[in-house]
Amino acid sequence: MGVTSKLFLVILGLLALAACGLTIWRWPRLAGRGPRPVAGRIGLLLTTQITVLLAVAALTNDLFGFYTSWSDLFGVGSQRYQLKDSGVVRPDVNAAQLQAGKTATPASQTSQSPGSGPKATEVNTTLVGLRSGITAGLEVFLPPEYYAPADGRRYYPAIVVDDTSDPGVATLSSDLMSGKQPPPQAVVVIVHGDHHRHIPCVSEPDAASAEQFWGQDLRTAVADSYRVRLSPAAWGVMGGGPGNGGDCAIALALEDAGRYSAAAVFGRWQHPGPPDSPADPAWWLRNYPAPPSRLLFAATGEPPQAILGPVRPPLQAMSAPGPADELQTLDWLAQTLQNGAPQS
Amino acid sequence: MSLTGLPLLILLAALTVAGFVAVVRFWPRLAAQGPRSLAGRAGALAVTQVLLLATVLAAANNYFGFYGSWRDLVSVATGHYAASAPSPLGAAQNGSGITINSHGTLPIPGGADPARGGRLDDVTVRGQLTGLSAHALIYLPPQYFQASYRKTLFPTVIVSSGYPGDVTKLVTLLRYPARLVDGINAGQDKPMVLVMMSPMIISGRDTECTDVAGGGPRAGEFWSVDVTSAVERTYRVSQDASGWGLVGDSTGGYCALKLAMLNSDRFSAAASLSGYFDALQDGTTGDLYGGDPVFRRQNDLLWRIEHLPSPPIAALLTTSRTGESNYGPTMQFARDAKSPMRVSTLVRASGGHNFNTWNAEVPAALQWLSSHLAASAS
Repeated sequence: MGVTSKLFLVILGLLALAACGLTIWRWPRLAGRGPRPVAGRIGLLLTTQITVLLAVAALTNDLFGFYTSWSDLFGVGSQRYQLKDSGVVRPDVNAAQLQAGKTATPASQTSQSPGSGPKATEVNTTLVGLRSGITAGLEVFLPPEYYAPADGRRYYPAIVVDDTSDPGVATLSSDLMSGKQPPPQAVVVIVHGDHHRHIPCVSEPDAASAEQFWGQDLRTAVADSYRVRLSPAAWGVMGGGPGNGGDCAIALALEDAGRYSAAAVFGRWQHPGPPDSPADPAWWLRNYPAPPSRLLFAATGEPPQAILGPVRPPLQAMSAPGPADELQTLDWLAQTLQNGAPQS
Repeated sequence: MSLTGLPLLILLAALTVAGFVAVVRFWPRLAAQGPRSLAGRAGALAVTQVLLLATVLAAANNYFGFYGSWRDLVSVATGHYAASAPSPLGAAQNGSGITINSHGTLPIPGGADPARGGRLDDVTVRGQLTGLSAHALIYLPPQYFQASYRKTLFPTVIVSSGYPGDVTKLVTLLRYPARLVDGINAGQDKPMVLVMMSPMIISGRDTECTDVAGGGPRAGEFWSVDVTSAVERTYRVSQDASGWGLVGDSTGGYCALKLAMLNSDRFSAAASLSGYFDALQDGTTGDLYGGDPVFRRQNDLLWRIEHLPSPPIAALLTTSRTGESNYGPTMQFARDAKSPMRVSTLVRASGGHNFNTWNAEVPAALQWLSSHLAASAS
């Protein structure tokens, strides 16, 4: 008869009921004076208490499934087990998200035409997100000094540019390569949707895979392929244009502040979703503590307070009046970010 | 009077004995015929029985450490769960987010010397991003205090109790720190830092380590981001996913596996002892998913492993052929996991959902975590 068998539980229950009934029924018989009735009372009362206690204990055990056999209950069962160890995860899985062969081809730095400054190195690659299953086209821009021998151990901040909504940052790529302005001291990653497909943001309905894409796949792929640390202090995100890249940037710096510490928006702000819904940054800031992130609103047409509501420290929100310049916005991010070196 | 500890236990035991004696002494007064006497007898039996049950429950709670305070118990009984209020400015935490309340040592031979027995810190972790806070016990192994490890960034394991569960029992009942020391001395375990917590970071509530929908407490974010970054800022520990793991029993096992699956950029290994896989919701959890079936499904680990890419983590799942209800789901999870995830299993022939089982599995889990986590140099 098992410790959780129905029969055992029923027997215990009946015993408890019988003991209670017997005690109440026989009560008057034991009301006399002298040692025998008193001993009878003690015996009957003890029997009731123990049977009820056992029944309650057995029922509780059955309900929660703590002990399912007598040997388990008394701790005398075999402690032997079979462990099948399937080993560790391959260490290069994060870097391998970037398709091989296209990641480490620095353009020649000697072919600068006179009159233009140092240029960034552009790498085109495809990211196949390990966790999100989302595929994206990446344009990675490395600062001119990235491959200089003296610079070989220097880490850079990373700036993600959300270009997955159409039309997005059309001219940024050519501006970065034109050499008219010195490129920012950061690894700039422009993210394109696969075949111009929109990649959801953390504030959208399919947020689960979006969190995995923006927060983890993209960051680990870049950090394991370039000299960029994973610390949030090293990561910023920029978006703009009439699509929704801007509110995705803001959502990342608010909702995933453990991974992105700065965001910049340029161009007219469009409110994502209805006001007072979880997609609205003001809703987020009303419900949760303000994160230690820095936000720049460049030429958004509205002051930050109109978009976010009251801005409480440690969150910082700044606005820059237009006209929005994508390169200037990138520079602001590059300056506000750190390279993520451990503080010692 | 504290819910745990001797005073309450002694009071209850004394009341139980007094009730018993009183019934025996005043027995004849209820011996008359009639409904009033009958009701009196039933009442007397009920009162003595309730006192006895209360004593036994308090003793069991003392031993197993289900609830640590009256507040936990009242929250569960009423279903009103109050989060520790986030500081209104969200900015009050200067520094690391960890307040050390006291330093302790282990009751093992030579334990008074940190370089031989390590150090047990009783701390409060305040989450910068979530505003939540929790009591934690952080164990630093002896090597942390030895000169030859001065530059080592130690691998770190977050250890979770089940629900309901009190964090101190991870030290006194499941003995994670003492077993780690044994494992290190036997050459089986690496020196690791243990961060021990209970899933009850909101008094009495079983959040299942979920970012609760609709503006609720972000428990998942607290465990995965707030705690890891606060520990990284305070102690000499690895800052890389390859050096961070999780282990827990029951609800703690579900939490360990879920947190690692959802945050594989921060954790690389999780050991789930008798963990379940489904997205639980009951009276002790309150509304976790805001009535959204999609969000609830995303917290169902069997659904995730079947329908979503498998994350780059190693997992150890423990179960037994008889005695545990998670045998079938565990085997299904192991079967459905795809590369790059690695699923190891520990299967016992029999053993239930109890401390005998977990006591037998903790050394194996520590050894498995040791071989799956890496230290780094500062």
